Formats: sequence, C-alpha cells, structure tokens
Amino acid sequence: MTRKGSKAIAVAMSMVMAFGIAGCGESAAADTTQSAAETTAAESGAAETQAAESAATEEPVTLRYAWWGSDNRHEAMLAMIEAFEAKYPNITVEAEYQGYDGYYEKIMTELSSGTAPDVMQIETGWIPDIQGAGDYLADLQTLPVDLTTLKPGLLDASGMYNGEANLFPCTVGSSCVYVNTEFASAHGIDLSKVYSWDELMELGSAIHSENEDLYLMTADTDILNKLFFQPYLVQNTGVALIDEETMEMTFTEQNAADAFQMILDMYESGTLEPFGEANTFAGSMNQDQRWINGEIGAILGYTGNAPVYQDSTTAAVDVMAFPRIENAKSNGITYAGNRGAAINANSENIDTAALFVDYMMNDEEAISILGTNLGFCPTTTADKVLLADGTVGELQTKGIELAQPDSYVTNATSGNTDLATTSKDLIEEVVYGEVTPEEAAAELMEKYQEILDLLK
Amino acid sequence: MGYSKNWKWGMIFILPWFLGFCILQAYPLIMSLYYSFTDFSILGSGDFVGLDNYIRLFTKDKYFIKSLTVTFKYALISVPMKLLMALIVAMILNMKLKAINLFRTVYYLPSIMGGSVAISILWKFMFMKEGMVNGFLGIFGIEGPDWLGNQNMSLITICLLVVWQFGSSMVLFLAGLQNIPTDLYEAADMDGAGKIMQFFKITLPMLTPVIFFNLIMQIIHALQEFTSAAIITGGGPNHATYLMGVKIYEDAFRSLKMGYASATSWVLFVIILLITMLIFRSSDAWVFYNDGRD
Repeated sequence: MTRKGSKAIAVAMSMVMAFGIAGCGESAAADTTQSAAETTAAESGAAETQAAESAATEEPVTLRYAWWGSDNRHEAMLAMIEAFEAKYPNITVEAEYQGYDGYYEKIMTELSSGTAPDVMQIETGWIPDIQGAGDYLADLQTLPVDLTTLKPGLLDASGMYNGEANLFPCTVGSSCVYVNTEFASAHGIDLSKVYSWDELMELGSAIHSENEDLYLMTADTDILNKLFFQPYLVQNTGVALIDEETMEMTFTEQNAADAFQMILDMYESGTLEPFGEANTFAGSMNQDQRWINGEIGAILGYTGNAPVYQDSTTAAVDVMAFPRIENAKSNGITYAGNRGAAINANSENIDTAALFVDYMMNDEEAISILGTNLGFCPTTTADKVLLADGTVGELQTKGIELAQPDSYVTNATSGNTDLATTSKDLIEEVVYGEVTPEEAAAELMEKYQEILDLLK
Repeated sequence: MGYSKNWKWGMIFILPWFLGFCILQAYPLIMSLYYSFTDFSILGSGDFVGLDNYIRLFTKDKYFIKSLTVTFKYALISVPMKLLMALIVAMILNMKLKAINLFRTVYYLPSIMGGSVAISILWKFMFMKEGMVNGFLGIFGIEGPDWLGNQNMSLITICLLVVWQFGSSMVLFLAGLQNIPTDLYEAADMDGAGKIMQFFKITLPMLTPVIFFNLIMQIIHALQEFTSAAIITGGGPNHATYLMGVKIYEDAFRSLKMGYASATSWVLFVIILLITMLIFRSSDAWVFYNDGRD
C-alpha cells in the first residue's frame, strides 16, 4: 500500500468514527421526536381488534421485552413469545431476561437514557420512582389492552398511579408461612392454628434450646422488612404504611419501636437463624442449607413461590396462616399484584407492545403456556384456564385462601425503594445492637418524613 | 519536511483517541462535577442545590463516615497483604527452577480472573458458613468462623480475594528483582553478609521504586473497589463491607440520587488525590533510585 493510500484510509477511518459518534446523538433525538408523536397518536386509543389486524398486515416490527426471573420463568416466557410470533409472523420479540439482582438498576438506567425496552416487567413499588420523575410509562387505559379481565380492585391496588394505569399486574398473591411438615410434626407445630408473634417466639425458643442447630425460621433483610416489620405495623393500623392523599405515615413511632423490638426478640430467643448466616442466601432463602437439610422449620414467603420452597427440600411442605398481633386490624399482608407488565411510553411500536401485553395477559393460549411461571395472573381468563387444568397447585391455592380474607390494600408509595432501604438499614442496626428499637424508631420516623417530603 | 506540514496528520491520527477521551472521560468527569451541585436523579432533570449534597454528606449521612472508615480499613488491610504476597511469590519465581515460565503464568492467572463477577460468586460459596472452606477446616476438627455473616470477619474475607489477585504486582516485582545487579550480591557474599542481611540491605532498597509504584496503584485501586463487596456481601452485614464504591453505586442506581452520588465520588476523588500526593511527598525519604539521586 502506498503512503498516500495509508493516509487516505487513516482519514477515512477517523471520519467514520467521528460521524458514528455524532450519528448516535442524531438518532436518539429523532427517536424522541418520533416516539413523542406516536405517544400522542396512541392516546387517541385504537381498538384492540384494529391493533391485531394491523399487526397482522403491517411491516415487520421488532419489540423488546425485559423481565427477571428464574430458569422456569425464562423457559415459559420464551415458549410464550414463540407462540406469539407464530400468531403474528410480522412481529419479532427480542427477549431480555436475567435474575432479579441488578434488574431495577438496569431498567432505571435504560429509561433514563431512552433505551428502555418496549415492554418491561416491573414491581408496583417502582412506579412512583419512575412516574414521579417523568412520563416514562404508558397509560394502558389509552391503549388496546383489555383491562376488564382483571379482578375487581386489583388494578386500583396494584397498577394505578396518578389516575393512569401504568401496570398490568401479572400475578396476584399474598404471603404465608411455608412449613416443613416433618419439622412441624417433630416439634409440635399446629398447622391449623393462627399463631401470634409471641407464641411463635415461645415455640422457636423452645426448639432452639432443645437443639441449638435448629431454628424455627429464617429471613434475609428483605423478608424481615416486607414480611415481619411491615405486616407488624399494618396489623396495628389496618391500612397501608403511607396515606397517599396526605403523604403522611399511618403508624406511630411506638408502633415502629414495637416492630423493631419484635424482630430483635426473634433473634435473641433463637427463633430466627442468625442474621449473618441467613443473609448469605439473600434473595433466595430456599437455598439456605439449613432449610434444605430440614434444620429450619418455616419461612415467611410469597404465595407465588410455593413450587420453589417445595422443590428445595425433600420433606413435604405445607402452609399456615400468617402470625399476627392480638386484636390485629388486618392480617398485615396484601392480597394484590406486586409485579406486572408496563409499556414504555416512548416506544416506537406502542400499539404492537400493547398487543403483546394483551396477548400475554388475556390470551388463553399464552396463559396456558405460561402456567404460573409468570405468576398467578389476576384475570378471569387465568382463573378459567389455570384453575380448570389444575396448574395452580394445592399449596399455592391454600396459601391464597389463608391470606386473602382480612388482607389489606397497599399503595405504590408504601413500596417506595428509599423507604424500604431506610427500614432495612435500621433493622440491621437493631439486630446488630448498634441502636435500640426506640432509637431506630425515632430515626425511621425522621427519615421517612424526609423522603415523603421529597416525594410530595 | 517540517513541523508545520505534518501536524495536521498528527492531529488526525490522535483524533480517535482524543474523541474517545473527550466523550468517555472528560465529559462524564465534568458533568459529574456539575451534577454534584444538583439533585439530579437518573430519571428526572436536576435542580441546582449548591453545596447541599456536600453538606448533607458530612452532616447528615451517617453511612458516609462509616463507609469511608470501612474503605480505609479495607485499603490498610488489603494493600500491605497483597504487596507482601506479591513480593514473596516474585522472589520464589526469581529462583532458577524447572518450568519457571509455567509457574509464572499460573501465578498470574488469578489476576486475570480475579476481578470478575463469577469469581466473586465462587468466593461467596467457598466462604459461606456451610461452604467449602469451613468444610475443609471441619476435616481437621476446626469449626470455621462465619466468614461472611460475622461483621468482624467479612471485610477480611473480601480482602483475601484481592490478595489472591497479586499477579500484576508480582510481575513488576519480578522485573525489579531481575534488574538488581548480581555483582551486589556477590560482593555481599564475599563480605560475609547472610541472605536476610542481603534482602534488607540490597533487595529491598533496590526494589523501592517498584514498591512505590505498586503502593500508589494498589491504594488507588483499593479505595475504588466495588465488585467483591457488591457481589459477595452486598456491603453487609450491617454495612461492615460497605465500601465507598458500593455506597456510590447504591445511591446512584438504587436510590436514584445521581447528584448526591456524584458529590460522594468527588469527595472520594479528592481523598485519593491527597493520599497519592502524600505518598509522592514521602517518597524522597524512602525510595532509592539507582541513577545518582536518592
């Protein structure tokens, strides 16, 4: 190659790189303009059938769909996507799936940079974070998604924010106590009884004193917050932690101090497996070696996780009612959807995204393929398909039956990530004896108020 | 052919690097400084809040001081351990052994894999209460500690991972050892100096430039550590491994306080800068250059 030729190539490469970088910016700007126009158009509200017809005839469309989950959910989702693509050959769905760790951060970053997927699985508690900062999620009421199949009250409880339906709940469920039946019969746990927190502690203390390798229960920080601390507060008040009308806390400092004290007592009595050991399995308590080996009797968990807990140990697993305080105003747990599908308001293919969500949630074929791997969808269609063919297992059904009566309705603000982080940090400090339950309660009230003032 | 004729070509050749530097390094650096004076969240546009983030950091955020303390402890434990390990292995690999190149390659392998998420997960499984390490100790009747769950042990466990990645420091020590003239040792032998005396009077002084370089690099690296604490312990238990890197990440991406996290980053940057300058200043007193200056 001549010297002149080399120079020419070098110049050309530099130009390509420079324009490549500049091109990214232009493309992003164009996307924003176009998607804004399409969002406006979408707001006119096309009919569901029209969307289906147009999807069947239009140019090829590619959708991106992101979710988190374990392998069984991934396999079911991919099979459902395959069926959807077979039904609408012009639509390709790119699957973006992973475990729970890092998913929230990834979605937030993608939303911020305008690169979020068209459809994404999110938690109800994330909606205030997202919609509070801007109009990132589409209002499903303006799109061809049939929301009438949802059971009464569930959309209000789990998907609405500021009058917009931002989430189609994909699972309905509650919380219950999963019990290793062999452990229960060996230590006299009465599965039909509704234990108080104090009674559980007495039982746990007796079991641990008898054999120091055994613990009645185990929990990671998230479970301590969501299934010990929060239910204890709500059992006192009967309502969501935060009143969204006034943006005030509904519980008192004394309630919080009592809840912290209850958790501390759980550890000091030997009822709960030591925090440090349990938290090694944070996010997947079913993998706790002691639970697997039958050295832990019970785990507070979500009804949707019944197969996970059953599969992780050889002993039969049963469920029992959630523990409660005396004269509780509710059982302290929600019966609602805590997770679902949302559509990116800036999606270039917002109608097709709506068609996909509608298929996933309302189509009998999709529900049949997904089973309960995405959750037990709170729709009449899911009831019809999954209950009829026995997909919803006995354990899960029993868990829901135990939890549903006397449950309470929460709201999105009560699930705010910052509030949750604050209580989790303080729970750890109480458990490690750095602060007393009273000090933790005072600090919690102060920090919660600060966060709520910002959210206002 | 003079300077004026070729400078354009020079500029064109450095253009790709220059653009990369501006877009990927200079721009984020400047923007993070700007964001540190705003309440910018990832999703919303930020308003200017002046020094609020910095004031809050030092007056209201109890986890900032805790995190800073943990980070210093981490650097104080991990850096000397890592350098000592690297020096010992480098001295062994400096001996005339069979298949020495194979050993040198093998000992460098952890440094290639060490910073990865996969190795951190492996570390977690090895050191959990019922993990492989305690299983191994159990063979000898020793009840192993709760490496990750005990707040007094977890930081040391994280440090062990970074000590295991001694490869890059070891290679530099090895190069330094091979640059020490052998006649110094021969003269010392003739004068009757023993091996320990030779190590302290010849090897160590001659290695001080390498020790100096390694020290600076490893301290900077340690103060910015993120992966091991984030993956293995998530900053816990009870913030015992809550390194600054983890705090910045959690503030920015979990609590969506990008402005606040930017302010923390800048405070960390200034701390690293001051420590580096301090070590540079101190080098006159202990670093020996074999070029006429000391």
